[in-house]
Amino acid sequence: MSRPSNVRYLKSHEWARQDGDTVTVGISDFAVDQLNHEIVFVELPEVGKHLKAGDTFGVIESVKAASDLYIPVPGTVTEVNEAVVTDPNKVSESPYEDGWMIKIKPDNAADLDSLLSADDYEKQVAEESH
Amino acid sequence: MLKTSLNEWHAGHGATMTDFHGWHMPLYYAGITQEHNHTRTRAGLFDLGHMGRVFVWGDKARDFVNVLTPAKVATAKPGDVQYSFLLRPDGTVIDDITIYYGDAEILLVINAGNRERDVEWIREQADKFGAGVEIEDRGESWGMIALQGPLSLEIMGRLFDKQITGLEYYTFAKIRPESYPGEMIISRTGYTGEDGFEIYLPTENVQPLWEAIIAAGAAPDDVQPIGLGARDSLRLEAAMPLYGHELDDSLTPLHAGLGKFVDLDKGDFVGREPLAELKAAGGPDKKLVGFEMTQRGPIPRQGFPVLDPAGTPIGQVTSGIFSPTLQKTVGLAYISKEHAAIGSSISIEIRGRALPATIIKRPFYRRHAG
Repeated sequence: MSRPSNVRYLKSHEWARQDGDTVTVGISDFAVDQLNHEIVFVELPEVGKHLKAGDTFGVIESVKAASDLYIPVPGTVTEVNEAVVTDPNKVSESPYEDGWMIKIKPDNAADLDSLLSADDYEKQVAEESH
Repeated sequence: MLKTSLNEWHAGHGATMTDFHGWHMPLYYAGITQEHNHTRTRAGLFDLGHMGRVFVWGDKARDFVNVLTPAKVATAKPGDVQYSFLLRPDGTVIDDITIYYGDAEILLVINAGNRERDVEWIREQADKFGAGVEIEDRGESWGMIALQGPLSLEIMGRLFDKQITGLEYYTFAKIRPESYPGEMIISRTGYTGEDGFEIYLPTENVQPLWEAIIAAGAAPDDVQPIGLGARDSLRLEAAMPLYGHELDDSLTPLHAGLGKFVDLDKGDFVGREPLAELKAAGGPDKKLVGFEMTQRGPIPRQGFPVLDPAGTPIGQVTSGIFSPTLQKTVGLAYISKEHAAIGSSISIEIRGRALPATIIKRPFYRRHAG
């Protein structure tokens, strides 16, 4: 799977993409690999919830383990992808498109710049996969 | 890390490997759910070289196994397989095992995670027992593989004769096939809830037979290798206990509802007295139960609290999965016996939330006969 260059990443493998005045959030293809492509449950926040830096916005579970999902930039949830809650496989099938998780209105759009660039993330992934 | 003789084969066939009790084993090749479904509908091949194989020899082999385990040894005929335990004097479980009664020797099959301590325990008990018993650890010199699933019989029929395909459930045959030097033990047993076979053979024959079984499918992908991920989900749908989850150092077979494998009337064996006392006193105060989550949601995992309808803790989850076959979230748990009736409402506490569940019958999955 090719990794898109127009998104930024968290070290914990969430991605964030500026779409107009909202930011779309999901998890990377590498994260999907780490979950063995076996995503059985996704829990997402309610629309309207405000999330601070470092907050978790949900939980994702593979057959083997549960992992927290971290918010890439502080903001308010404007939309939740119910389709991935109903069918968690969407996340592994299409992590950057159909498998997006939430949209947020960032408190400060410039916060996005503090995230890892696609190149930096590529390096991190290369290190993690030895 | 410890490796089976198929380690390079696994790596060469795209397996994602995992550390299982110090063993470098395939977690999955194609994907856990896909492999699970394949085993339920066609045939799955498992490398079980990590499990232990201990042979008991000597005139007194049967007498020794009769004292070593709670199994009903007296009624076992040569060729029978029995599920049993190694118990401590206090009745707690060192390991759950299978016993293969040969004409001369008895094979004890033990779990990977307990291999060292089991072998040590068996040797210690044999020393205590005295003359007429010899212990031979074939953990390294022999390997083990399993073929499981509805196509198993047809596939085995292309490689072996009626002596194997005619085996009844929980029996075995020891054969000397022409194509493989030495002996081979094949049983109609498994850990998936499907029909199938488990095969024990000298390590050098493992890969040739493994490849022959894969090639013996009518279609090229009838037989697929299966990793430990699906092995766990298959056994859990069949509600078979896994040591470290449903059985451990603090539990007896009676706790796990496995009293029918404990022959309290056969005379003395290691652990008998405390188990007889426990049974006479009305049995353990907690029981292993199966449960089903009311709604699809997070997975109940080992150690999560079980609550009664009032929110009082009454037990703990031992295993849980989203069942690929049933498309429901199910699990096993130990709960206090007054709450353990089938149909009772309970809840499972998952990350601070109490989610509703119902106690249901085990197993969760039973194959159709025939």
